[in-house]
Amino acid sequence: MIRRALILAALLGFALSSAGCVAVKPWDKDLLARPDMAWDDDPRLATIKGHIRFSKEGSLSAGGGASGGCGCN
Amino acid sequence: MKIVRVNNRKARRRAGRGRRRTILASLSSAALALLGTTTDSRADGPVEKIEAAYAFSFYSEDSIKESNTSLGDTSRYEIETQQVTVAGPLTDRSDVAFDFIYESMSGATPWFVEPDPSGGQPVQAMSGATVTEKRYDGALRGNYYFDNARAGAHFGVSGENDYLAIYSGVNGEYHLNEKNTTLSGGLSFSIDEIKPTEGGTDGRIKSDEKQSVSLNGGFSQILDRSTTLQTSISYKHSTGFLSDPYKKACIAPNATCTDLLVDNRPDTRNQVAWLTQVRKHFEFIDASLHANYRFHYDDWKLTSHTFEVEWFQNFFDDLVQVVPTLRYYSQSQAYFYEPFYLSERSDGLASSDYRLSPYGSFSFGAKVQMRMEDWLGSSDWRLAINYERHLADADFALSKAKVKNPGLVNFHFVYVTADIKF
Repeated sequence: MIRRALILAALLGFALSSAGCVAVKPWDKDLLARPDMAWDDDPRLATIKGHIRFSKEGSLSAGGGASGGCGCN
Repeated sequence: MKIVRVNNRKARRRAGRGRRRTILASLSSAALALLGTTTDSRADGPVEKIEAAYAFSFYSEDSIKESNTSLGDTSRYEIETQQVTVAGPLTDRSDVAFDFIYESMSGATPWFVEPDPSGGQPVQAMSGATVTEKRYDGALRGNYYFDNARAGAHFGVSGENDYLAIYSGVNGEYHLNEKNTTLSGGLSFSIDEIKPTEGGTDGRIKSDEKQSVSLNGGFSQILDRSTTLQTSISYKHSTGFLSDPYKKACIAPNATCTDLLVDNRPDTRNQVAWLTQVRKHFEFIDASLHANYRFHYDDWKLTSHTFEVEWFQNFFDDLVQVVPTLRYYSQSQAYFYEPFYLSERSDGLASSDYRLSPYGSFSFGAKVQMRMEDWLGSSDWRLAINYERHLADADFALSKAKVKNPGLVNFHFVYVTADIKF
């Protein structure tokens, strides 16, 4: 388990270090500005899905934030 | 609520006519708007229009199989949820939003697990009576925008007839490296009080409390003109009553349940989640890929892996989007979990909750949405419908589970929404 996490961390570190020298200029950010490139395309859908998963799974919900609800049933 | 400060279809048409410079400011602003934290993906400027959104969703769990049940009602939980968001600018550097959620829930829920007298396999005893419950949740959010940073705060209250949670937090982000890199962080807490129905009877607590504090930090990096990556770590510390007052655990030394203990979990929990997300746009087919991976570990020894992929396929010059989604989740069990116990644990802990059992799940579905800009008096509309099917099984887990918990849940989920920006 820990080994998998370390491999992933190494891959991530490599990706970021190779990206460090890249600087996309503002006039080249049109694709990044598209609605379908948002981190969170639909916040209400993310909220309700997050609440379902908080209630039905054993893990910390995606955002990691503290929020309301028992989730007992 | 989505904040995009540029009309993309119009922007691309203008760019095509060689008027690129005139939209530079709004493009860069909108691009960086999308580099928020995992909890808040707002723009680096305040909301410019009044925005209102409504969503209705229906969640329905499959009935539990007769062969997996020893007692109680086989029909399970259904939840209808209504969500309303209203947002708007406060000053030229700040905005505010209010989110309201109303949920109506009903159905039977898992109570305890016991061995089947015929073969010793675990079977689920369900609650005898149908539970009906309502939940109200209201939260206020605000943001202040600096030239290269954003500071935000939220405060909310969630209430059920047996549960009250008050939560609040602050978060922020800072842009650097020509706004190709964004650092983000947040701190939030929740104070919860539980007063279970029929508290004080049959070993059930009358009332109790729990508190939790969450910290998260991360950064996002633009990798190239069409690719961006975000990674963040979240930590949550919970203390107080972390058990489920409506569940029990069975002591079954000889394949027969001889005693029922109240669900009893440790009174502290430390959870860590590491989330990494990638967004990639494919210009030649006008589509975007969203890929997320989350690793979770906590001091109840519960480890999980979540993989999620969404494909945003655009049609008719971005008027319509079809978004198929696939999610895989796998968790190991909490160290004190057993479907039933041969004898009482020396530390007194006991839980047969399927949420703490080893299992995996697949969720798959699709969303179809339409975006209409400058429609009905120059307002912008988004209409969407989403369907998801969720299937859970011990055999889907990455590591083979010894025994399947009979209470694992399969469900259907439908969501419809309308957003309007005036």
